[in-house]
Amino acid sequence: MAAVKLLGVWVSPYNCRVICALKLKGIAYEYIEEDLLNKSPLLLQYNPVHKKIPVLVHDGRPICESAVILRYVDETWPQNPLSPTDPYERAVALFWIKFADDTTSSIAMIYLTTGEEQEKAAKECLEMLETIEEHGLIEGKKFFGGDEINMVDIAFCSVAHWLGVIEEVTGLKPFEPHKLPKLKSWILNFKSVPVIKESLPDIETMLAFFKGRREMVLASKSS
Amino acid sequence: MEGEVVLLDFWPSMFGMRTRIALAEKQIKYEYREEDLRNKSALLLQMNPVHKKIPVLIHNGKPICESLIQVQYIDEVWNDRAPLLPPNPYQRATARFWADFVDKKIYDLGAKVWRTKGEEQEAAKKELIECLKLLEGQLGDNPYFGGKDFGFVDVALVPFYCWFYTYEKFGSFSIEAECPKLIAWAKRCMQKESVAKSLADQEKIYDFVLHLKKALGIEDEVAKETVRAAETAGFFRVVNFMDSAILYIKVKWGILSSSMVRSSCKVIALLEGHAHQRAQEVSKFRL
Repeated sequence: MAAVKLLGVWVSPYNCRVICALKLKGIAYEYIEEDLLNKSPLLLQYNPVHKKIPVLVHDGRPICESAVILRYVDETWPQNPLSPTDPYERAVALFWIKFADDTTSSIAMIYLTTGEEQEKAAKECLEMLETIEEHGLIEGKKFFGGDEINMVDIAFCSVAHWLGVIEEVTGLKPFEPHKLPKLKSWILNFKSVPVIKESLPDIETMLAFFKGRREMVLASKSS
Repeated sequence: MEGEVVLLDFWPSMFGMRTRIALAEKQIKYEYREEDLRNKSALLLQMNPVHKKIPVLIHNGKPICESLIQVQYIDEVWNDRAPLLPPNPYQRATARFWADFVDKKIYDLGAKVWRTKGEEQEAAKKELIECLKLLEGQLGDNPYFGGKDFGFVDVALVPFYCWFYTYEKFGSFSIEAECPKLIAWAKRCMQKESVAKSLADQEKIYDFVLHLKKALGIEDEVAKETVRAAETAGFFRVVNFMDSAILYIKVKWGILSSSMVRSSCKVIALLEGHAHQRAQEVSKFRL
């Protein structure tokens, strides 16, 4: 009976956040893939309020919401700390994690919508990316965490990995790397970290998945 | 340790109230500055350039944004008194989960209850009660969400208590009838000085919302007319009738990026003549 279990869905960026944190800390865990169209009794038992993944189960007790899970993991396993020790820096980090939540939602909206709604979603996403460039990333700092990645970098995995896939599948490209150089560098740095490379889902599999999803969205809008 | 503490706030904001409560719990002296949301101060725009929203806590000149983050910051810095989060990581995770639940659900549902009518309002009322009942369940037989002591979730939720009167009046229902234990909890919290002096008067909130509804009501009609005219003239197709009025407002107050400005020039040209005055009214009261 594994002490740490993770209920997740391979293609979810929120799930990926937790995998990154667990791997960075070297925590052994049992991964359980959930079928969201047929939610398991275990998921419904562990997350009765939202019925969503990811859910971390530690010694039989569930923790829900990826941002809450990240902090729990960091507080419970102190090796390779993922958040600043200074309270002010930590408050800034939490602000950007919340912003990463909003950014992740806006990226999803791009493939979930069509027509004007989709254009609006792409514009909103671009605005968020511009905000990250202007206010979130600091010139000369390799990661949000400084020289090493921390939970803010992890929280932005959707920007590093999902955005490109969604852009390719929908043909909309809100992100122009030459206009957002700090973000472009951050993405390259983030994806070069060995543990992150291991944790991100395979691109080809993701492309196939999102192409299929996009077809479903288009079919449902035209009917 | 204390240093200089300033709070940029807006009196009816339940988010600002959270921070006021935390500061009061810790007996921190601070300067309260009321913001006029129609005319945001240079300090607010400088300290919260990303969202331009209140509350903003400024400690020794450095800003902390987002109310729950402020409460956690206050708890960590002034950690020698009145702890708001428990020491155990699992209990902390549980507290953060429920505070996040309040954030995700209560504000938007409450806003729908006072802003909408008919089916939309009924659905919002139903869901709001369901959420409050879930919270009631979480409270159980404890005096507070923090257990025997007032804690993080109590701070996150109790400010909504002064808004319940407004929800009830507009929604024609009684929250106490559906969730008696929750109201008993709220009244218990109100016996604490930190809560009583931080929450706004519920009748004043109701008057404020009445005024706001009137302003928005007029706004909606003008926006609708203007947008229909633009559509007929072939300027653009509208997804949402409020889009163009809000687009105009955003451009005027510099929130949109330049690429969006270019594409909306035609819309602005049309609206310039009509909606200038009205546009000001709508943007005012976003909390």
